[in-house]
Amino acid sequence: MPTLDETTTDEDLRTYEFCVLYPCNLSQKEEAELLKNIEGAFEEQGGKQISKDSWGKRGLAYRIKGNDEGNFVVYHYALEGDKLKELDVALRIMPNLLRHIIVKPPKGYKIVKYSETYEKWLKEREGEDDRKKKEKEDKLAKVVADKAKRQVKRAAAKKEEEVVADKPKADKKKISEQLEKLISDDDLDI
Amino acid sequence: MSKKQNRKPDPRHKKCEFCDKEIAYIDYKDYPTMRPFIDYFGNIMARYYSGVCLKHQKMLKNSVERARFMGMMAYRK
Repeated sequence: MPTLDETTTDEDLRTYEFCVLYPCNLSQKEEAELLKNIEGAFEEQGGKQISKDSWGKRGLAYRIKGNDEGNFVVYHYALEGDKLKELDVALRIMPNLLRHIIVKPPKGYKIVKYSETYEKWLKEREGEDDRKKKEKEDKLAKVVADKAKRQVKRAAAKKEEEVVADKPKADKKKISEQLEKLISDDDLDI
Repeated sequence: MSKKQNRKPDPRHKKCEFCDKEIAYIDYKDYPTMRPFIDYFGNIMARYYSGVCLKHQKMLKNSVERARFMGMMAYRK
């Protein structure tokens, strides 16, 4: 029967991702203390820091404990899996911490600093928004110009019709006048 | 002829965008990739409309729920 080897090796260490959210109205001292506490908790469990990515002030999608904005920090630590529960408890009871999440990224996960990519995306989006606005305006201008052209065309067509319609009217008058003349002519013998 | 041009494309014949890009993992912090699959009210779009395959829909659901929990994404607008 195979026995389980309880000694830990380097292979047991896996990269775990921790994301923490704390309010942005903390004083600098409180903030530094909080981050120190968090990092201390990781190190207490024997974690090795791989990366730290602080996003800075970000708006929240919904209000959390009266906060509309918060600071996000994403850590990557190499840790043993069985220490996660204790870490979770430690983070849960930490004061001034709004939310935290522990994620096990899949093997071969490349660490991306989303603070930079998000800013890049925002800039691109602004550019795209401007482009879309311009396109919309161009489209509207085209529609207005087309409408004006059509109106001019319609007016011209109407005028022509009126001219055409007026002509026979004049003829009718003349004809009636001539007819009357003819009728009133006494020399006529019918 | 004009009728054919105005016809909407069949939603059943869409391709999974994640499969096309060969994405192995959808990150909950990656808002720009998740955004096209969220509707105005903050709900995840159905597979029928987005064309995402089952594997990636499950990944998407996980990452959206994580993002919602962290306050990066709204539960309901």
